[in-house]
Amino acid sequence: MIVTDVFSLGVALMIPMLWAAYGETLMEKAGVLNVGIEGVMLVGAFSAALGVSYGGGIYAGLGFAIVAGLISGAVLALLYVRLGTDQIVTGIMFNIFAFGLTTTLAVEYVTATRVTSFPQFEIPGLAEIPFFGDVFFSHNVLVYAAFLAAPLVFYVLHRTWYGLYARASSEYPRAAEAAGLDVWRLRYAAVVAGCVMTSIGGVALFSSSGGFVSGLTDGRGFIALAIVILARWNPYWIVAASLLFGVSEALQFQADRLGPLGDVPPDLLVMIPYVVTILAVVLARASRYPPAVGVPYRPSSKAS
Amino acid sequence: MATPREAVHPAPGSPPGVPPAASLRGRSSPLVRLLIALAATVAIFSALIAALGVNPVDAFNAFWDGSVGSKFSLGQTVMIASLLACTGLAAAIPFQAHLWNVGGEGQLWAGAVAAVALALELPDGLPDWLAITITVLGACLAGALWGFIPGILKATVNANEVITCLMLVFIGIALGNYAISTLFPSQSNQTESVPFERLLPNIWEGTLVTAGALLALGAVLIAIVLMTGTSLGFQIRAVGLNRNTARISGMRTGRVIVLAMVIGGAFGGLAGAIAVLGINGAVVAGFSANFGFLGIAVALVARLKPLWIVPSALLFAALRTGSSGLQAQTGISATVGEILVTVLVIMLLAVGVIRLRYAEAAQ
Amino acid sequence: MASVPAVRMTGITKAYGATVANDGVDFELIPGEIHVLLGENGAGKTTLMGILFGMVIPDAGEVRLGDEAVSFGSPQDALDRGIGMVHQHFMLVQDFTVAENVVLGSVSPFDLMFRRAAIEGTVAEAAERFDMDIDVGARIRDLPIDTQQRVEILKLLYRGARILILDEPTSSLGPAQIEALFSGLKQLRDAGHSIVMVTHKLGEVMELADRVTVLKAGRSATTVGKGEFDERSLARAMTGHDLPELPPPTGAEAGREPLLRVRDLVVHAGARLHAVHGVSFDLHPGEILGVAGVEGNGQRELLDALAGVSAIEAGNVEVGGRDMTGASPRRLREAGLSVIHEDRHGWGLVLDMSLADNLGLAEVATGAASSHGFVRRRRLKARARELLEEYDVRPANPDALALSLSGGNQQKVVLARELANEPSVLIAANPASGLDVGAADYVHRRLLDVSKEDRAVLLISHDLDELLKLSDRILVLHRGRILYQAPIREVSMDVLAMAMAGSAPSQGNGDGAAVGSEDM
Repeated sequence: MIVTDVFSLGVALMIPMLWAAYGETLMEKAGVLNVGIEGVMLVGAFSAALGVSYGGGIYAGLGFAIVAGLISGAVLALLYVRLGTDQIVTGIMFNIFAFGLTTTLAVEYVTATRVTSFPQFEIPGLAEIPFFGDVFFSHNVLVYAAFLAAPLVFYVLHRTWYGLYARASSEYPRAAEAAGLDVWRLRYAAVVAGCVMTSIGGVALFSSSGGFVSGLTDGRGFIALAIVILARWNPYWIVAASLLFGVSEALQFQADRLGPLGDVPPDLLVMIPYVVTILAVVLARASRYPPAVGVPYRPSSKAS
Repeated sequence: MATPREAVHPAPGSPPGVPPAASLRGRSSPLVRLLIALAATVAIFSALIAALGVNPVDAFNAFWDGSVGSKFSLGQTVMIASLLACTGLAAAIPFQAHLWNVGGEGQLWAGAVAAVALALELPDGLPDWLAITITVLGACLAGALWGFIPGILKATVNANEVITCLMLVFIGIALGNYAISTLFPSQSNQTESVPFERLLPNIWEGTLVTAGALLALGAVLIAIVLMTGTSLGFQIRAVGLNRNTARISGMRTGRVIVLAMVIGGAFGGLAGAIAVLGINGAVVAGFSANFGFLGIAVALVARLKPLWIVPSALLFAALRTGSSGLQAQTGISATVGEILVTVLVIMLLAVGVIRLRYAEAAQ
Repeated sequence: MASVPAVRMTGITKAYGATVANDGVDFELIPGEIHVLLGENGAGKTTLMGILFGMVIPDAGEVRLGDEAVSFGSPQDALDRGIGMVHQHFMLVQDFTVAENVVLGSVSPFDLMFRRAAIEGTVAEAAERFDMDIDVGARIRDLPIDTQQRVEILKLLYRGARILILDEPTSSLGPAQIEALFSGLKQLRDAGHSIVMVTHKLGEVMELADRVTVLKAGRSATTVGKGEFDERSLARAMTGHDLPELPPPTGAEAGREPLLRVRDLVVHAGARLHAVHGVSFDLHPGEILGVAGVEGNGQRELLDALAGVSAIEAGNVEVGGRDMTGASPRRLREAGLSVIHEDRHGWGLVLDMSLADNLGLAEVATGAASSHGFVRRRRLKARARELLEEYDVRPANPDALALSLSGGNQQKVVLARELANEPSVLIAANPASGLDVGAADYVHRRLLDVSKEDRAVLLISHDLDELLKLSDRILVLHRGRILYQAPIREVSMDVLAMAMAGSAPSQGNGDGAAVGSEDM
């Protein structure tokens, strides 16, 4: 059935953006806006390709990507938090840097396409449910983990002391400082953890694309930025929004079966997710970042 | 909507009139910090080059040859600088209004597509100078449209312009690919070529420098006059430094925002025209090595001042053509140039030599 | 009884660039006292206390707690030693609940036990123990200002603070709330806490202080004990001179066409606080109409609506007889309305622009300063020079950046710009906040001048003294409604105070609706 196929593909395609959106949520909910999300994702995908190229299989790729996420996170944390550089510009520069780095190194170090993905397995019982079974329960482990991560992210943000403190840092960091909190340390943790999750999104992308090419992410990281703000930082809404974008991306691959859509040239179909993003951002009017997001914080005691 | 005013207060103990303290980086002089940034960049880059199996010294020689080592390469640098000056202006003007026009790349592509479409489709009988003029203006208009969309969305529904600009980048690139594959196809990975008479003429013998460089210079002059002399430029600055005060003083901030984005977009579109009419003669797949995004770096290093965009663009262009030289002589992919450039900019940001000054108020 | 001082600060020096905030200041706090730190705005009081609380690192000097020398690197250090501070602008996260704000920072981030119900229970218990009536599950943004202040104090007590610093705690409160606060502070003192209250208001000192230290221009001028001071001597110690009295308000002649007419104005109706729910008043030529009220009762919304910056949901506004409801700031300005906003840095000036540019903002906006789209810079500068001289701004340099000026001079620049418009109606909100006595006096005189010239001033202020000094008529705003209106000579302070706290007078002035005094 067309609809099932579109949605099933949509679920597969949404996963990279979903992981990246989780990561970005953690960061923004501590007060850091990471426009470099695209670059982090790309480095993650590249690292997975590296791991696979060195014969370790997909799980080695995952390991490499997690390490890459830790490193990206450390670098970005240093820039965004400790040095207080302008977050948007630094993020954009990081994206270009990541693009250049991965493209240059890929030529040397990534051996050619040997399609490697996570093994697929169906969840017994659930996979038999009509429609939902095919759509949701016949994927690989990274997909299932992504869905299970939603309550985990929610828990961390709203049911832990860390989450409370981090959110205070995104709303009113000076009040957090006055209460005795170390805003910088809270933000370091958020950036590193967030980059690791974003990197995992890169692995998912590598896995579903079957290989690494230059510029693989193609704007998915930026779409994740939109997802986060549309979903108002709620992990459950993030899942829903990611599905929307996943499906809009799936449309171009199933277009030939969708009547009039099949007549539209593929180069234009590619635009669908981006147009959908713009429309969504416009329609979801009252989206406003918490006051301190994107503003580097200078603790009073460290001011000269 | 009332802004959360509780989020904005000077650090306790700041005497009135004194802004919250100076940079985190202590009190070392800007020159020292600049040198640190340069040294770090060179070090990192050398390490990378060495890891790729090339002697860093050879690499730097190749760089020199590729950028300014000969009359020809100098010409190449000038042309790339023309592109970067335009994308630099595309970023700088809206940035002064505190609008993040990160969509220069998309505006570039939109302008390029418009340029090739007009150059190919305008009736044959038209005198060449007229055709070229219309084409250039059309490209600027296309870029302006690419800037108008994020601008109007920001002004009306407060849609985040970073996201809308970035989306339009990918839409612009897709449009370009569509032009190459379907609208004006040719045998190779580019659109049909623009007929010779409708290209910008060469102005420096022995090089590939065309009148595109003059267009870029003209753009810079227009930008200088705009920002220093006109009422609109004044209002753009005021809105950028403190939108609230600008508004309560009677400025039509919505209009200013849209105009700033439109002007920025137009400069981006101009870059597209220069690329098509002044460099490649067609829309070539992947012709832009992130020139739109690098324009942001150009603008920052120039501290958003149109006059300084010229040397800044030349610097970044040299880095770009240098890396082409590197590729020619050592075989390393030219994208390594983008690594160099971004590491440099990040280092400069890190030491605080370049930073954006704006009111810390949440908007 | 001679006791070891709880806190002793000696030789404290702190400079910010060229400005010396504290210059060799000594300060001492004895256990179980209320010690008032008095001084003008800008005298260095907040800096000194910031050092005690660990938010500011001194350049020189020593801080001792009891017998021990300490050096705080952050507020956490101070809190660990039992020192807490309530800032002038509350350090509360508006979207969080009371309980969440109180426990913020009290436990390590790695602690795994986080149960919302248990937390609220603990905080509610603490509130009861300290005799505070607070709904711990309420969001801060829904609470009135004095309750928010109680939350701030509770926060400190919950963390075990024995030494409490309060920075200008009465700046936005009405008389009834101030009384409640003072009696609460006295209770805490009697229970053994030591309290430092930072203020620039003389009247409060007399009521509350066991001892007073006066700071002047960054130096400790005097420290005196109970019975050793009176208002006059303190005033002299603070400023070094006496200021001539302002002429008393004359009261405008009624019956002339109002310059500003507001009818049934509704702004931000969805909110309970921070809204205007049907306000009507007239502003006559030659009068200063004062709008009194505790902060957070709709003054800001009223200001923003009249300035054309906020949407007006219902009602109308007429300026000079013409309907200006929903007009843009530009049209309002053309109609002769000028605004001195309460947020000088956020809405009054562009700090990073020069004085000439700041003074010319309105003219550039209307095009009066341009010809063919080009700004006439020389004209702007010349005009600026005139204005800077007329208003005695220092330095009178049109190229100086606005951020380099002191608060008083900055406010003069704002005044100059707004009055240059020759407005028939001037709306001034907290025009003297944060200014030293001299600058405040200047501003007040200018406002009086405006009213003398047969124009009108709407003065919205938290400072009751200021209102009483200047207004010909006063009205009280509470929860977005006018609860009381009277000409200055007929004002009863008791009724005024009650209206500010929410009890409408039985005669049915203004709106007339009797509102319960839930927030006392």
